Amino acid sequence: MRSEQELMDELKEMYPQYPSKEFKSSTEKLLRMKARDLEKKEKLSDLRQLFQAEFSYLFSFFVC
Amino acid sequence: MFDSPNLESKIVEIYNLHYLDVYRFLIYFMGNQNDAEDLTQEVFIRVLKSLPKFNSNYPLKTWILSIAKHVAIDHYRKRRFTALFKEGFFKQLSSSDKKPDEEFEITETKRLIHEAIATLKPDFRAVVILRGINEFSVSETAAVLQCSMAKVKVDYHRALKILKKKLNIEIEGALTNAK
Repeated sequence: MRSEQELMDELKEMYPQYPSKEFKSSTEKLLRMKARDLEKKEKLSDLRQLFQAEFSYLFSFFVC
Repeated sequence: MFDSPNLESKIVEIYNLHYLDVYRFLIYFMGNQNDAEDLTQEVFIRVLKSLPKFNSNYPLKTWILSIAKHVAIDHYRKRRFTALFKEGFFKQLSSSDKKPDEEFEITETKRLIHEAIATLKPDFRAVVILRGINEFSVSETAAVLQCSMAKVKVDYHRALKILKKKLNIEIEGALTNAK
């Protein structure tokens, strides 16, 4: 019967240990793009919250 | 926690450090390079989205690999009723200058190893890949799989036993019949 090491060596040889050449750079580009989108969304949401806070302050000021 | 203004540089740094671990886990889990690459991308997109909520007391590598495990199992479930390892596998069997009978033996051995892994249940497959191929420690594997260290040891032992038994019977049988 195979030893554990022999079995693992056979498994390791079965598939390419590295992804294709284009994969690394294209994924990196995609992640940069998505990270910038997320940052933009976060900034917009901060602005919206700020606006809502300002608006409710002004509203309460006029009501009083 | 990571600061969101650094999100872009942070995710690129994390990706460069861990993409090979994730890819190597997924290629053995899925059985073909196309799926492994697509799912590696999906894993890092999920990492990016969850990064602002990440608790830095938890080891980053095990957190990322646990996301990879979820992505792999989700994908596996979606493809459960289709032939999971059918496409892609035979394309990867490289042609060489070997004699036809030697070529046949290698191809047959690979096919049998592949089929033996495919018959393992997802938890067993994950434990074999993490412990045996990615060479994670028992505690790291337990953290990724979110189970106890004792379960990792028992599952790994059982999975290896199944693999060895299947392979010894099937490979020896197939090669004897082929002669």
